Amino acid sequence: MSQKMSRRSFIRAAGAAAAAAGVGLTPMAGLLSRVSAQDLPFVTLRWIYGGQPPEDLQAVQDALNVILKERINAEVIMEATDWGAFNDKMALINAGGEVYDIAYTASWINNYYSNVNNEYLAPLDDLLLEHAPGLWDSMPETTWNAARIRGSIYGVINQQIFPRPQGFTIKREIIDKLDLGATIDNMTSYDELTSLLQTVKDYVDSGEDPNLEYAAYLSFGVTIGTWDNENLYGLAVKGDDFDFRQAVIFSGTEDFRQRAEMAYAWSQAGFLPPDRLSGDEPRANFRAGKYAMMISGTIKPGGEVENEALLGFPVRDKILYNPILTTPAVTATLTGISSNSPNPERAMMVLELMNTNKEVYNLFCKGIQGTHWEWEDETIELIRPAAPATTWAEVKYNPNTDWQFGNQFNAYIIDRAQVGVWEATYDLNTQTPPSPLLGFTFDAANVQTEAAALTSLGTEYGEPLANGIVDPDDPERGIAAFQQREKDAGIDRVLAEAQRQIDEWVAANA
Amino acid sequence: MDIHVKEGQIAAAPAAAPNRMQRGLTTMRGQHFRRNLTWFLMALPALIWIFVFKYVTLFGVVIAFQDYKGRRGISGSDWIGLKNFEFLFATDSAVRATRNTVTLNLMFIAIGLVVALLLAWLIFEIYTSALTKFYQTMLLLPRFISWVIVSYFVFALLSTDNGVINKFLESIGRDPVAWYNSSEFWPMILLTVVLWGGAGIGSLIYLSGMLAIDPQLFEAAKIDGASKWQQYRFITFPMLKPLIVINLLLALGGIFSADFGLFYQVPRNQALLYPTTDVLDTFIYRSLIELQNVSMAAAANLYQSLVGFGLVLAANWVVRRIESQDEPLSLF
Repeated sequence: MSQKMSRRSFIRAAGAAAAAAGVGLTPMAGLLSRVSAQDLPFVTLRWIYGGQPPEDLQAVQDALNVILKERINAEVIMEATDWGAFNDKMALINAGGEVYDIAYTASWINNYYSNVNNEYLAPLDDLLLEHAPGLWDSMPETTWNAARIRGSIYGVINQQIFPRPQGFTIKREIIDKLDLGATIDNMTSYDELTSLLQTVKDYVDSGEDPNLEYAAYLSFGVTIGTWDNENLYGLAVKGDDFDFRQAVIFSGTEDFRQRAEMAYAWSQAGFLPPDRLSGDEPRANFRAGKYAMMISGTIKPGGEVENEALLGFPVRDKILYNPILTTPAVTATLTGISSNSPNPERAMMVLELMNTNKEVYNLFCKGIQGTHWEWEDETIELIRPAAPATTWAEVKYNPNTDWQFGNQFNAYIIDRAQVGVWEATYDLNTQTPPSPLLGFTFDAANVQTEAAALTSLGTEYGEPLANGIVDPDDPERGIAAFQQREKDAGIDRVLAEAQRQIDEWVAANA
Repeated sequence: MDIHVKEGQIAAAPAAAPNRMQRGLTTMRGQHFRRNLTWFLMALPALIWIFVFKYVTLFGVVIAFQDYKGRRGISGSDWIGLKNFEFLFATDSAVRATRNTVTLNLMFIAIGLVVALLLAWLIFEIYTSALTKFYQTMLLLPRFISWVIVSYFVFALLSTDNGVINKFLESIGRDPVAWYNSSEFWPMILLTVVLWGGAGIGSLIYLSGMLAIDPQLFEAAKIDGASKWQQYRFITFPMLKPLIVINLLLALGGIFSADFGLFYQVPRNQALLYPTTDVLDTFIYRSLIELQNVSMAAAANLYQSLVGFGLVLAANWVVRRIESQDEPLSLF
């Protein structure tokens, strides 16, 4: 009983906070009326997403379901799936026709485009208008268009940072020890990273920190820099030149060669661990203190705080590439509804709540108030780990993937340094120069055979080259061999098809 | 001695069974069935397994000829003929996987046979020793360790920076080797792992065969002054021949299917090792996972099955040509 009371007061408090804070980049309106909840039949929805299942997952799920039952007479089963296995597991669940309702899908994992091509995801346009008006209104239509494939939206865009600046993350402890602060401030390109890596490597070799084994772990994608490339099967379009809307074969560009040569030089200099690791292993090693830096992933506003909560030590992020806004960047975080979901409209109602209701969203993201977090400063929506935990790493519910569950601009902040972070991100989203192809999605239906072969070649040749495992001049595995294999696999046909579609798209959108 | 004979019957049963069954089918079917009821019951779980997983699923072959969409099902998906098979030959990946599967399996079969026979012979020679059971257990144990765990054992040995083997190489003044980037070593590494895991159980089959040989034969040979090697060559080996041939035949039948766990887990799915470690099963799996195309994966699987089936027929035909009338060895 007393628990119920505290829950009510919690609901009130959260609602008041949301109203007072006025971060409100998304309107709180458009919620379903409570009366209709009684008329809806009770349903259970299965939601699959990435991440280690936290210890208190069940407790959070129960708390969430109390609210969902009251609001829309539904409950969810939250299926956290280890990131390392998420992609494979979703592929098998989809191919096997297993029934689920909601899943995380993206341009980089549980691939949105193949999910749509395979008809695993339900078209959402009508559902959005009918059951999620608040969610629909939270983003301009131009943003929604990035998720459109052949005219329909198949994934709800989780609002977060869209542009993906590239750079690196480094332990603050190292910066302080080696007095690197100013050096890092002044860095503007990857070329300057070489001397920094050398400094860090010398420190590693000094043996002062016995845990430290390597200067950095590198995980570059095949294409890097200001190219719009994803889901173009080895092709790319120059992202910062609106007059040049020509697809090119990326392995043949000077940018690719330079990056591969740089990565190989780093690898030869002993900056990087020699073996490629899989799944969560690199991050686990970083957490264990084996690497001083991680050169990978997205660097974003507030990311340092998020990382610290996850890693347990302070880090600094440095952006080296100011990116462009590409279609895959917008579709980097989507929530899809399965095409075999028995209750797609109910699933959409859950997504509406998750994206417009701060209480529901933060319950999923941060856990239960009092158990997992408590207010540090309610006026600015700042929270801290609930006692007895002193750090977020100790909290028994800390998925730390706000961007996976809904509109991240509704998330409570966990550090005073994050005040204004959502506004900053929103500005970044709106001010980043768009790619000339923003909103364009390549449809590989006519070149499926070639696309399949090129996907395999990207893994087999492209990634080892991009990450310095292979000498770019190696006769069997180097760039020339990669290009030859791509040619054999019919990349020229894909190029012609892509260019045709781009021209058509440009003509239609000019 | 009595016990030995009984064990021998069990061990030799697979070789003789098909022939006996043929006769039974034509003459006294019912009586034959009743007499062998126990054996049928023992085989029943395996037969059900084969029926469910190998026959019921056969219907799914049609997926290979469709643009299969999971939600539409087999009846609702469009037919696209042989288009899915085109991707198999769009690159040389499928050919390479085929070559790797066959050559690696042949190597495993050939060397595995020699090692299993050798181990069986060694244990047979000390069979009365109290330690026999211990040796047998030790040889068998690796069989029960999952490939995932084995892959971590191997990583602990071969990891470039911290691996036991590279540490050893450094200590004797040699350069460390980047094992996970060097595909040329992997046939040998995989062979070692396979022998470590499988030689024990292989030797057990041949050991039971050896125990079934009438000891009087060896006694007579000894009296005539035959050496250990002569006893092996002229008594043990000929007596084991049916067992060896049937084992080889079964192994050849499976030459087109590789042990997925071994080839996927132990090389840690490293792209640089594909030239020597990518086999048909891993290739099919990656087709499904990476390309997310069920039809192409099904096409690759059908290709594997067809060529494998051809190979069983060919192997059986060869055996039929060389077998003698009173010692039938072929399966059909």
